[in-house]
Amino acid sequence: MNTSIMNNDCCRNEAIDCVQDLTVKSPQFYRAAIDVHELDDQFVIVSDMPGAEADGIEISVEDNTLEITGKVPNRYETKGRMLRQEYGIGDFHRRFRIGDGIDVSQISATCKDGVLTVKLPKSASIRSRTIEVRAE
Amino acid sequence: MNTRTLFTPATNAMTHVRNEVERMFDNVFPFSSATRSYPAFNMIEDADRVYVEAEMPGVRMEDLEITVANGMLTVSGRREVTPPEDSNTLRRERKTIEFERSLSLPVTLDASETEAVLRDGILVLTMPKVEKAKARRVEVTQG
Repeated sequence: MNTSIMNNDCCRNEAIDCVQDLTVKSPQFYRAAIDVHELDDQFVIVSDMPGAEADGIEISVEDNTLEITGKVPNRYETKGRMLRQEYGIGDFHRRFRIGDGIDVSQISATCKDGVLTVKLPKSASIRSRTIEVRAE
Repeated sequence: MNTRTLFTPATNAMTHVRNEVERMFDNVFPFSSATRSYPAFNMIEDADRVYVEAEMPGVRMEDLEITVANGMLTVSGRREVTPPEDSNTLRRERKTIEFERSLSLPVTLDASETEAVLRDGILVLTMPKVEKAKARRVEVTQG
């Protein structure tokens, strides 16, 4: 059984407004540290991807699965002799299930200081609304 | 609080406690310190320079203090993680931390010529070796 499915980030599995981590362990990638925040009108995923340039970040959505990959060029190849190595260099990756209530066409992302911010707007139909009650 | 006087003054109490705990562990497990300390360092050398790199996403140059003295490099600073306003955090893996870490440098370096560049969340320190620390090529002539 895939244990990451048990790891519900929010709501039920069937929830339409949902961002749920589905990342599985892979020898191919480093697992980027993330925060997931929910706001009234959007979800925000913030991810540490040191060494990844904006050009090297790929974000794709297919069948309610959002994948984020940050390519990190191996800057040591030509640099000389390694005297000390406490961290490895490689590409970052995370995978999420997102609900139907997210407006996929409006997803946007920015990258600054090795931190990626992905904004996932909720579609108008699921945003919470304030209903004004008038006194009669 | 009498016990306070047992400690050397530290600018930040938590950093100090963590350093003390790390030192304690380092004494017990001398080979396990690398994975726990922040930031993690990589060190590379070529003929003329030593490069020390550290992953520190979200850290700005003004949040960092870097000193090189007596063959020791010390990097300290703060990384701030602030959730967006009026948000509900569903998952939190990134943390605000204050850090301080020292590393002894392998050869004699010219500390005054240290260059620091912070780019895409990677700190790169470039330090030139002093002349006598460079490997010399000895010409052998046939007699």
